[in-house]
Parts: sequence; C-alpha cells; structure tokens
Amino acid sequence: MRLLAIFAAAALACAQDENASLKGVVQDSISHGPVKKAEVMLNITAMANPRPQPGMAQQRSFEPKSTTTDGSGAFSFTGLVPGTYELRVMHPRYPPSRNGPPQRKVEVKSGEEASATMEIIPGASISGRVLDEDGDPIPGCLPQARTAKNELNGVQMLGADASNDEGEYRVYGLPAGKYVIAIQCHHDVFQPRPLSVGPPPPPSWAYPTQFYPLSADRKGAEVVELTPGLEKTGVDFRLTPGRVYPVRGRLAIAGAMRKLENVNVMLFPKEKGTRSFFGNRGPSIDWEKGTFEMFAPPGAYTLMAFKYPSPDDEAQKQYGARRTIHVTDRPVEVDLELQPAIDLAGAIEVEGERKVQSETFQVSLMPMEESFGGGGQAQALPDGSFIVKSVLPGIWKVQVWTQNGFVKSIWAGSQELPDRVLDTSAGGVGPLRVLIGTKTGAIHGTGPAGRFVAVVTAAENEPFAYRNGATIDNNGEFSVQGLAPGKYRLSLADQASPEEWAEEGQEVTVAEGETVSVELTNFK
Amino acid sequence: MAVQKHHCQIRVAHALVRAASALMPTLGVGHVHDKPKIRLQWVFALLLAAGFCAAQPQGSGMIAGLVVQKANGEPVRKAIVSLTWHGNPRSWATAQTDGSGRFKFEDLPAGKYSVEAWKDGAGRASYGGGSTRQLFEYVTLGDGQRRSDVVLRMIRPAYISGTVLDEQGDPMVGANVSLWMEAYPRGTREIVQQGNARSNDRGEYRTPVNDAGRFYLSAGDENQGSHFAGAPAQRDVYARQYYGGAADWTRATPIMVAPGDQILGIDLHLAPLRSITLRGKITGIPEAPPDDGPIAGRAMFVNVQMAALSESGQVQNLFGAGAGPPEYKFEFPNVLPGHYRLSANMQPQGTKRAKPYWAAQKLDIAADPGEITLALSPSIDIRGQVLTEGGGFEKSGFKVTLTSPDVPTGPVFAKTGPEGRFTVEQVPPGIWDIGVEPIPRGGYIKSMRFGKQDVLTEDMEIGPGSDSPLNIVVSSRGGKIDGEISDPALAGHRAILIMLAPTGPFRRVMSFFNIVESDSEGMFKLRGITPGTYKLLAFQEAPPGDPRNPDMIERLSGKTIEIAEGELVNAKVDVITAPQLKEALK
Repeated sequence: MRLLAIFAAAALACAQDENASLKGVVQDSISHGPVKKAEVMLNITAMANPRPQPGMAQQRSFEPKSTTTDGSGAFSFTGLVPGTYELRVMHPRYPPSRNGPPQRKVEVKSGEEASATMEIIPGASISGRVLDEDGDPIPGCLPQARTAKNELNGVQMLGADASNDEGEYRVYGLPAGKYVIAIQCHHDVFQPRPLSVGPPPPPSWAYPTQFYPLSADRKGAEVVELTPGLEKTGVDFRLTPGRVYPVRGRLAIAGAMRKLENVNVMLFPKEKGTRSFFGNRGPSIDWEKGTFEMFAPPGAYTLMAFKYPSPDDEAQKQYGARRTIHVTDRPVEVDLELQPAIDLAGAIEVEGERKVQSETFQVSLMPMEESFGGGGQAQALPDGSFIVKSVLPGIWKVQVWTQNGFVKSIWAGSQELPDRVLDTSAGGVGPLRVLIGTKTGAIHGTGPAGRFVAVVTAAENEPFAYRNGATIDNNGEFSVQGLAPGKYRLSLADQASPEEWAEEGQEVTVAEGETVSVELTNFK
Repeated sequence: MAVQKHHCQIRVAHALVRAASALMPTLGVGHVHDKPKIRLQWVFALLLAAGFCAAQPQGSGMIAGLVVQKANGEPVRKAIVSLTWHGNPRSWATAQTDGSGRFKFEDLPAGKYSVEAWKDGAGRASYGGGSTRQLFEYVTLGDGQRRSDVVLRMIRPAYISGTVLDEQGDPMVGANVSLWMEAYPRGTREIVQQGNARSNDRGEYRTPVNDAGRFYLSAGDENQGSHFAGAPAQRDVYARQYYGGAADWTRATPIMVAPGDQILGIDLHLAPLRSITLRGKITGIPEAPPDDGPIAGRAMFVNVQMAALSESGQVQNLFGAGAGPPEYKFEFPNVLPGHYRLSANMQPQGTKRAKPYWAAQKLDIAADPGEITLALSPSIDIRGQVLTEGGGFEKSGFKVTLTSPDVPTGPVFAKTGPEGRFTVEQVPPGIWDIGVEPIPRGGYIKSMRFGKQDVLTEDMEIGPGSDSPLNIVVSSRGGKIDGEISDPALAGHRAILIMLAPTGPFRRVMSFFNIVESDSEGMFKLRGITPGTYKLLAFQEAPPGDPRNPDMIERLSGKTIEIAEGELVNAKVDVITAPQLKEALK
C-alpha cells in the first residue's frame, strides 16, 4: 500500500502543479497570543483536479507533512498541489480533546497562498492538599480526574503530580470540561506491633478513595467545571482511615494439574461510578500454597482472576474466574477455580428479502465491568457463522456492527439475552443467534446551517449507546440513516466534546423502517 | 484456633526467655566466645525447629525516646519507629511517635536493640546513625532496665529541583528528567539511574535523592522517535543532555548532594540537535518450509531495535521499528549522533518450534551512514555441563540462567539433566551474564569456561557462529572467614559494614565481592568465597554510591587475606573511620 502511495505521489508530481502554498499562525484561544513550537500537521482530503487513477484512493497519494511554528507562532507549507487540506495542531500545553487535536479544513488554490489561523485551547489544572484526620499532610496520594459524564472514559491530560510532603497535589493539562475528582492514598495506616517474630500483621485500616468534596462515593461528588486555562486551586481532601477486611481463598486452575503461575487477582467495586476510582492494592499470592489475600473496605465487589498464558504453553490458553462478593465486617473466604476461556460459536440470521453482505458483520463482546482484556471479537463468514475465540468468564454486552441493518435480538441457546448482555461467569453458554433486521430508520431534519447535530440513544446508563451525528448543510438540512428502531435524543452540540452530547434535547422515536422528520429551529 | 495459637506463642516464648535470662548471668553474658551460651541458643533453635510456634520474647524492660528533625531539633510526630531485638529469635516491634515526637516500647527482654524511624516526606533515622550512610548503634538494655533517653535524629530526604528549558528559555513540558549516580555494575565506572521525574506544564521537576554523594542529572524529550509518519527526515530533537550541557555524563557537571539537601534551581537548558533518519535493510531471511499447512509462505516480519548507548556502552534508550516483505527495509527517524546497538529478530512462521533469527551490530553515527545491512542468523543453542566438586550437594539439578544487559529479551535458562548436561535454547547473539542455582551454602562457582575462554571473570560474547560448550564447575568448598572488629569501642556497639574485595587481576570481577554487616557481638562470617587474594575492609560509614569502587578500595587500608579452597581464615579487622574514608575519596 505504501509503495502504491509513493508511486501515486510520484505520478502526481509529474501531472499536477505544486505551486500552491499555505501559511498561518497558531494562537492561544484565551490570550490570542502566538503559540511557539506547536506541531502543525497537514494532510490532503480532496485534490482539486484529480487525474483518474483507477483503483487507487486519492487520499493516499499525498504524504502528510508537518512543521513547527516559529517564535511568532507562524508556520508555512509550500509546494502544495491545489486541493482541500486538513490542518491539525498539537502542543504539549494544549491538550487535545477526545476527538483528537484541533483541526480545520483549508482550501488551497493553484498559484495562490492560502492562509489559516488556528486557535488552540490551553489546558486547565486542578490542585489542592491531601490531609489526614489530624490535618497532617499525606504524601504520595494519587489524584484522579474523570469526565463527570462517563467516568469509564479515559481523560487526555498531560500529567498528575502525586501529593508531596506538604500534601500538595496537582493535575494539569486537562481539556476544558466537567470533571469529578478523587484521591487514592496507598499510604499505610499505622498499626502498632508488639515485639514478635514473623511478617507484619495484615492491615486492618486504610485510607479509602475520597471524592471531592469529602465524599466516600461518586454520588456525593461535586462536578468541577474547568474553563480553558483555568488554574483551579483549593480542591482539598481530608481523609479518615476506614476498616478493611481480608478477601482470601484458594486459587485453582480447572482441569489438569497446572502449576499456579501468571495469575492476577483483582477486586472491582460494583457501585457504578466508583469502580474506576478504586485503587487495587495488588493481592499477595502464595504460589506454593495456591492462596491469595487482599484487603477491601465493606461493599459489593466483582472478584476477578486471570491467568496469563505461560511462555511455554503452545496453546496460549487463558483462564479466568469471576465472582460477586460482599465485604461486611469480617474476612471473606472465597475459593476461585479458574476456567479455561471458551470459544463461543454463533450465527447471524438476516430477516426479510433484502440480501445483506455477511462479510460486513462484526461481533464483539464488550466488557460491562472491568475485565482482564476484552471479550474478543469475530467476523462472520459468508454463511453467517462466527466464532468468538477465548472468551473469559465475565459480563459482556454483545455488539454486532453492520452497515445495512440493525440487531433485533440476540439469543444464547433458547434464551433471549436481556439487553443483549451475556454472562459467561459460569463457563459455557449455548450458541449465539443474532437476528438482524434490515428495515432501518432515518431522521431527516432542518436546523441552523453549519451546526452539528448529535444523535444519541435516549436511554440512561447505556454504556454502548448509539452516538453519531451530522453537520447541517448549507441548505439547513441534515439526515442520519441506518438507525435501529428506538428512541433518540437530538441536540445541537460541539462535535469535539462527545461526552457533553445530548444532556438535554429533542426526543425522537423511530419505528422500524421509518423516516422521521424533525425541525431543530427551536434550539438556541 | 488462631487465638489459641497466639497464646501458645506467647507462653512458649515467655518460658524460653525466662529460662534464658535466668541462666545467662551465671553463664557470663557478654563474653562472645562462651560456649554455654552458644549451646543455649542451639537449644532455643532446636525447640523452634521441633515444631514449637514462633516465639514472642517478653521481659519487663522499656525503651522510650524522641524523634527529632536533625536540622532544627523539632520533634517529628507520627513517625513510625521500628525496634529490632538482636537476640534469638530476632524480633521486632513498631510504634508511632505522639504529638510531641515521643515513642515507647514496653515489656522488652534484656539484650541489644537497634532502633529506626521513618516518616513519608520527613525522612529516616537510625539510633546512632549520624548520617544516612552510617549504620546504627546498638541500644543495650539490661534485665528490667527502663531507658527513656533514645533520641533519633531524622534526616529529611534530599531533593533536587529546577526547570527544563528549551533554547529560547521557554519551559519544556513532559521532559524526561533522570537522576544518575556512579556505580560499578560491570567492574568499570558507569552511571546507573537512581530516579526519574517528568517536567510539568511549567517545565518544573523535582526528584528525591535517597543517598548522598555525586549525582548527575539529565533531561530529554521522551517523545523522541515517536513522531507521526509524515515528519520530515531531518528535524530538531531534544536528546538526553546532562546538567552542564554535555551529551555524555563523563563531561557533565556533577551535583554534590549532602543528606537532607534541598537543591533548587538546577535548570537544564536543552539545545535541539539535528537528527538523521537511519535507514537499513535485513538480509538472510529464512525461507518458510513449503509443507507446513495453511500458514506456510506467509509474510514474515522482523523486529528491529535500536539501543542508544552511553560512551561506556550502557543502554540509555530503546527504539523499535519493523521490517517486512518484500524488501525488508526499516527506518528510524530522529536519530542523533552517538553510539548505538542495532539488533533485529524474527520468529520464522510455518513451524511451531522454529529457531528465532537474530542480528546485531554496533554503530557510531556521526553523519548519515547510508543504508545499513543487518544479516540475520539463527539463534544459538548453548550446550554445556555443570560439574560438582566437594560433595554435600543436596540437589543434583541446577538451573543455568543467561541474562544479557543489551539484548532486548528476558533471561533464558535451562535445567541440567543427567550428568549435569544442559542446553540453553535460542540464545541471541550478544554479551551474556551466567547464573547458576542453587549454589550450596558455603559453595562457590569454581570455574566457567565457554570453549577456552574464562567467562567467570570475563564477559561471554555469543556471536553468530558460536558453538563452544559452556562448562561450569560448582564447588561446595568455598573459603570461609570468621572475623571480628578489632576496635573494642565499636565492636558490638555499632553495626559495621564489612566488604571483602578481590585484589589483583580480578579486582573488577563484581561477583567476587562480598558485603555483610557485623553482628551485635562485633563478629561477622563470610562464606562461599572464591579462593584468591582479597582485601578485607570495615567501614564505620558506608562509602557513597556503589562501594565496589576499585579505585577507592586501592586507596584504603584493609587486611590482605589469601584464601584457599575450603580454608577457614580468622581475621581481625580495623575499622576505617569516616575521616579516613573522606580522605580516600578525595
């Protein structure tokens, strides 16, 4: 492919005028001052006068270029083929949004010098102190910032400084947005020990994860809004040690007398919104005795174990175990037998007359809770059959991607999967049957030209919701097609911040095969 | 059940300790060589071994005191204090200082104790340790004695901080800052990394220094080499540069750090360097066997790795690339002038157990060297034998482990079979360190030969054609030293660092060094010594950095010891005082 691209570029170099150029300035969106040493990347999206090149993608025929802004924030590209280009800017102090770095399209005409001003948004920071129950600083605590909307999503940030000996921490280079802040201290809570022999006593107290401000759980957390470049200070934590109890038991590998090795055990709180903030202190595993021990505050957890394949295991077999446990006020004893990962067979059935190319079906098992690795994915064969390999015990959302249809229902054996959620905790499940409907719906509408319409499934707590959108064209029209029947929420949104989409908006119900018309002029 | 066991522990321990303390005065405690006492310890040990629960010694003594900051004498609250009883069985206890920095341990048996304290962010202290390098002093407690005069002076952790700036004086974000210290990992002076930090959005960094002495600081742009595909072939790169502006540590400005120092304003000014794109190709691609099912004839990819080396050949940074059919070309963008080691490896597909192929080459890059050719060759199976001498081996089998400082794979190992024979499979070319386990207590590795080469004292380098056998002799009859500290003012009052250093031709063979601490009687034992000539040194204060510094050892006075196989040497050694050490380090 690369070879073809070079060939194409060479061919084009002879055929096209490389007489266009592009210059511009990168500036700070708040101060409007120049940004030095920003990396500017240029790629072509459409060529002005493409020569027909059968079987060759035009976008491939341009090698991306990059340059760095000078002391006055200026950059330039020369020797360009006329066409439409995409500019992207990166700078370490200007965090990219989740959609990537700031970008814009520029048209470059033959013999002319186009110009473009790129504004980039400075990152914000959060800082504060971590104090213990007596008001003394706790060093070494790790701050966590998560988007308020969906805390499972990672945050693009520059870095985070753990609390120092004055208890001061700082998270910096955060994109503007709404956040929930939590702190994790793995600092030991002191426990006295009388003069004795042997290892230290197990911990019975620890500092729990705390959400700002002073909340033990996600529900009590305050949403901290960061505007571009904001230096938010005084986000302080005051921790009180809480009791922890041992979770321990035996570990065994199902089947043969396998040596216990390469096993990892982890605990994940069940409470939504808390689990991604929960810091696992690694378990202590006694490989000879085959036992593990870890410590957790009271609550409901998913206990997971996973065995990585040994290097000398030719089959590279994975094993896993998953159990729900409740920690109250006493040690939890739980034995885990790790089961081999299963190969999950299934078939896709397309209803109706219309033929759908089977090759377009992609089946994925998306983890509904933290897991060791994904649930795997498979592409269906022309006859609709598929096998998802090496599925570990877990709770999975079965996702089927198709271009020309939608998923009507999914069955495991004779049972329809509620919400398409598959539980493999107990090992083998019946073959999967995926029913695909072909009569998709569409939304056609009007709205302010140039704005972006976000279309999101109107269901709460749906981690794998439909999220898409369209830009309203110059005629004030947009359309979104290929929709499964259901309720959607439409809103005018910032394309670059999908986590902010559809907090409120117009709800539209699309029936099977229906095209719904909407008018978005009422929006601000 | 657990509770009962606990009771049992205390009772047995109590009884034993009572018996011991009742007997000891009559047996003359304090005289190191009293046989009855030794015998009593044996009884103790035997009782334990015979299945008694772990002992919990008890008495009626007390050790109490205060933890203060050495710098200003202020009490340190919430410091964790750890007390170790150097009796038998060695036991320990922990307590925390109160709001006025005081701590107390009760119900203690008579004997010798060491006391340490630490607090995150506030530092560490040991009783009698005047500096971070000085070992502790024993607290001696008589039967029922109550001491409340134990003062520990805490030394704050040292820090180095500053800003990383570019050539225009603007802060550099996310620069990788590394702290280095001199050491002798392979017998010659090198620097080893002691710490790591990243500059923040203001270009600031701060790194703790857990030692004192001579340090080096470097900074560089860690994103080097990972810019996106369309980057121009030549660009400015902020390579690792040391404080003082040098690209190599030997020309860098060292930073002298004393315990507790807060060194501010160590600003690193990075200058961009013009890079080249290093291009090359892989030759010697093996052909996939044609008869091996559906995957035969599939495209095979080669992993290419480039290690940036220091002037002394140490790996400083690693970069990866790939090469694939049909031409098997590779490139590394943003390569700066310097020393490199280029290596390639490939796992041929089509057969399950095919040997991986390897290639390696050292490069000194000044200007663009043009296209580099790396010729693959199959990895080598190293065959050999472990022989034993002297008897007394509990296990017949050995594990032979090869570790390479500069080959990008983990260690490779083999277990010995009949007659001690072994084959370490698929060893890539490179320099390899050899490990043999288990060496019996008191035993040593008598010889290691790779063909005719002595690889016990020299590096084993495996090239593409190496087919020599690796023959190892393990002897159970190592030399022994029973030593004592000659100075009565120190022996048994203070822990002393003892180092046995090889002299003569093997003075740079790190595996011949032996380091222990003297015990509460001022005695020490060294076992499993390779026969030869040594210098025995005793330090009141540990030398800064790696004590196995052959040049420093040469300037220090110690006891010369010649030791033969299986021989026991009794030695009395004079302690090198802190001023003497300082003089030798000048």
